[in-house]
Amino acid sequence: MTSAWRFEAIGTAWSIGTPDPIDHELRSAITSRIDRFDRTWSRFRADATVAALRAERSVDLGPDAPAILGVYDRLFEFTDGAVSPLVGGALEHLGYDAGYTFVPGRGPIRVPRWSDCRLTGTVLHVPGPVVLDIGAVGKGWLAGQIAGMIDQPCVVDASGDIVNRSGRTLRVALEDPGDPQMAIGVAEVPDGHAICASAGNRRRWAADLHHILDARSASPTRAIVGAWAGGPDPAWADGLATAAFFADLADDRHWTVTLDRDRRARIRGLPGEVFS
Amino acid sequence: MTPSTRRAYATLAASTALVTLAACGGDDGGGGAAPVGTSTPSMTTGPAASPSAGSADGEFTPGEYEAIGTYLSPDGQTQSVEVEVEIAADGTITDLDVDGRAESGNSEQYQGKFESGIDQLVVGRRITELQIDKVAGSSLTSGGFNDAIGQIIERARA
Repeated sequence: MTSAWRFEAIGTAWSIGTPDPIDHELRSAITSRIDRFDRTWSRFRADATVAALRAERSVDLGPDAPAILGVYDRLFEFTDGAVSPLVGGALEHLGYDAGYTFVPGRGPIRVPRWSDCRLTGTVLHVPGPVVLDIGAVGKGWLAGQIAGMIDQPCVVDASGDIVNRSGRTLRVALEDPGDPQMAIGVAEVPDGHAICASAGNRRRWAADLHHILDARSASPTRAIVGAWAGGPDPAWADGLATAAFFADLADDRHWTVTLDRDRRARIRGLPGEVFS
Repeated sequence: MTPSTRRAYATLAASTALVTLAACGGDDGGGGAAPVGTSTPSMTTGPAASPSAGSADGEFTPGEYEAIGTYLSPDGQTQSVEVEVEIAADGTITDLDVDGRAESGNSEQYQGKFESGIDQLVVGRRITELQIDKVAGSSLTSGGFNDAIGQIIERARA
């Protein structure tokens, strides 16, 4: 990878490495693709399509909806309801809102049940006002989509979610959630695979508040401080990196590593090593 | 202060910033809009500390400092974050607090490490010493945080 294109999108830094520079036309197409994703899904934008779900019971979420929400169906089922795209309202309640107020609201809040929602084609039907947040899946999914648009070998790195189409195996450090200068291990990511990371201490705005919520309690998780997942499906790997906070879900194609608050690692099928 | 000292200090400040405030690209699929600001500021609840009278032999006046940094949130509102640091005479940041409760969180973590037994612990290695291509969990620094640290540096040098 001799050429790197760096940009900011959907609230994070992106880097796309390729042997040859990506031409202007393809860059525009990629930028448009990301813009369309953001305009549809961002819970931070009042003009986003998902914002309509705050008031309307049925909203057409466009062509990406079946793939993205299908991943959530599986995550919701496999984690007994802990992972849900309906945690947006609880995140706002806790202060992680479009204004970045970071002032938690008073009293408990309940997350509506994802199983009470229904997708017909691309139209999502919800039982009442909801704030959709696809943070556990969206970035990995989008990174995979972008990688699929590039007509040469590439590594798409969306700050923690990396899709490897370079033609060779990548060695990727698992960054220590407590110290970004340190790694707790290294994963070998083969060509065609992705690696995704999720950490509860990031995006933390008070001692016990961060962005990974258990939808059943509407509260941040506590036992696990960081999780990584990898495999051929970037959206599923991204989802697993959040689901691993709640359940042990590695499968024969996807690996997971979790680090708990006592710095014990749970390693499932990792191609690579965790330092101990 | 010599330029090299200043540079070293700035590096330290930046890395400390990452430790406490690193904003993960972790999973923001639904994503914020403009990443102008930060992702992890937090509220300081403690009282404002003032620099104590320091030793005369250092480049900095040691003591506890507090500053408020501002940043732009995704919806274009200006927000602020309070940062407290403790600075030694040589400019080393010896303590840093953004949420006002970091200290208790740390002791809790250490207590956990102690209880879990040393043989099961994961040991970190320096990323710079590994043969790797990429890092999963890479961090963004907080604009508001860096703004606050910049103010503190100015005051500590005075």
